[in-house]
Amino acid sequence: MEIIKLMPRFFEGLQITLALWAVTLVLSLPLAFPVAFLRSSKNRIISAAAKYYIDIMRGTPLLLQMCFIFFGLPEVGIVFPRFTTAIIAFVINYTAYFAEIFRSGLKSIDKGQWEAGQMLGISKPVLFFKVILPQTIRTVIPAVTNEVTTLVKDTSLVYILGLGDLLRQGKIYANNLTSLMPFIVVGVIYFVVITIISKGCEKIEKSFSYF
Amino acid sequence: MLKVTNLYKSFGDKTVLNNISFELGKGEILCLRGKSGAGKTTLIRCICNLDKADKGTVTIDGVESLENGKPNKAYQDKVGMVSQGLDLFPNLTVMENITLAPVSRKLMDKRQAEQKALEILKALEIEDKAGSYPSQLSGGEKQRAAVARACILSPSVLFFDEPTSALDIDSTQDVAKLIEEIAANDISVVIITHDEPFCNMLKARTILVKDGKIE
Repeated sequence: MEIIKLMPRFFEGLQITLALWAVTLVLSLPLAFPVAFLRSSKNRIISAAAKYYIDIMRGTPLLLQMCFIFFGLPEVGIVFPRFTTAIIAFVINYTAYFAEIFRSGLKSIDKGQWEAGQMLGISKPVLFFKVILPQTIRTVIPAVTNEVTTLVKDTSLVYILGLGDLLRQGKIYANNLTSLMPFIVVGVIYFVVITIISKGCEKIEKSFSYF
Repeated sequence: MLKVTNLYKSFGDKTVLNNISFELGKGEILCLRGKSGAGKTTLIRCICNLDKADKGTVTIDGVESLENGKPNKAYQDKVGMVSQGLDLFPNLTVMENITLAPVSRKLMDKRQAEQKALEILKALEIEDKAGSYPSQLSGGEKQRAAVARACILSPSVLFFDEPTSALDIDSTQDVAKLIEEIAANDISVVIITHDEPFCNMLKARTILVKDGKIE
């Protein structure tokens, strides 16, 4: 019965978890394409800069990046609120991962497609949006799905900022009630949310199976 | 018509094209024959501006392939290519593959382009495939769709890179017939091939390419 009374608290936590998840995706997915292009640039300086950014983001823990923004930047006078800190850290981190996924997707498109477009005089933007992008999306959906579900779980790292996400609510009430039950409920909620997201991704994948 | 003069191309130390010159008349068919690695593909890639020649000039009806060292648009409109891999856009239907260039370049409106595409597809006997995706076509149908896509822009010269490499003898004869029909419409055709029997099927002039030179 105690647990049922606590459900509104868990859903408050879930709201923070889902808000962080959604805002991260909305910002990092579109940002990842330009980064993937910069990484593939023929200009060595641009390509190296993009590579270093990606390597640093992938080579250090997300938790550390969050700590750096929240605890480190105030040392030089830059202060962000907790939720904004979480968004910045998640977006710059996930953009790096998505950029590498998109880069591999773009590389998988046969060079002949670009050349066919060139021979037909089709402009690069038209060719990209009408021909290359749909094929790239189809190629990268499985890898992106993986990251998208991982992101739901990664949001639990915001405990370090004191944000009341789903897992933090579970931890608080597990301590209060000296019971494992809140953790079990939180686990079930995560599982249901991830299952729904995975099903959604499967549907998107199927919608690209027409060619 | 097509005039190639003293074309040179090297990759590092390797000279791939060594002083290539030839001419091609209107509606004429030319087979460029030679072994793999002879320089045939590099030659047409240079003519089509997909690669840049180190030296030499290419003109069609007096229009130079390059303008200030960059591909000349007026020239580019005169060349069409059906590559070895065909490179149809897999996410677009045959109709969309054919109409994307003229519509996006605002050369025709969508209805005009579709009407013209349908006429070409009828002539190529694949009008029933207009709504199909490339993955739903046979090898021969794909070839025709790629030809239709190149022909909608009314090129003066159409290049084929190994058009029979993946075809059986019946389909090879069909391609030979198709190429002769294209040439009959005053489009000059250049074919890269190592398939001698295929060249013999065509009323074509043949040039042998060996070690980057014309023999």
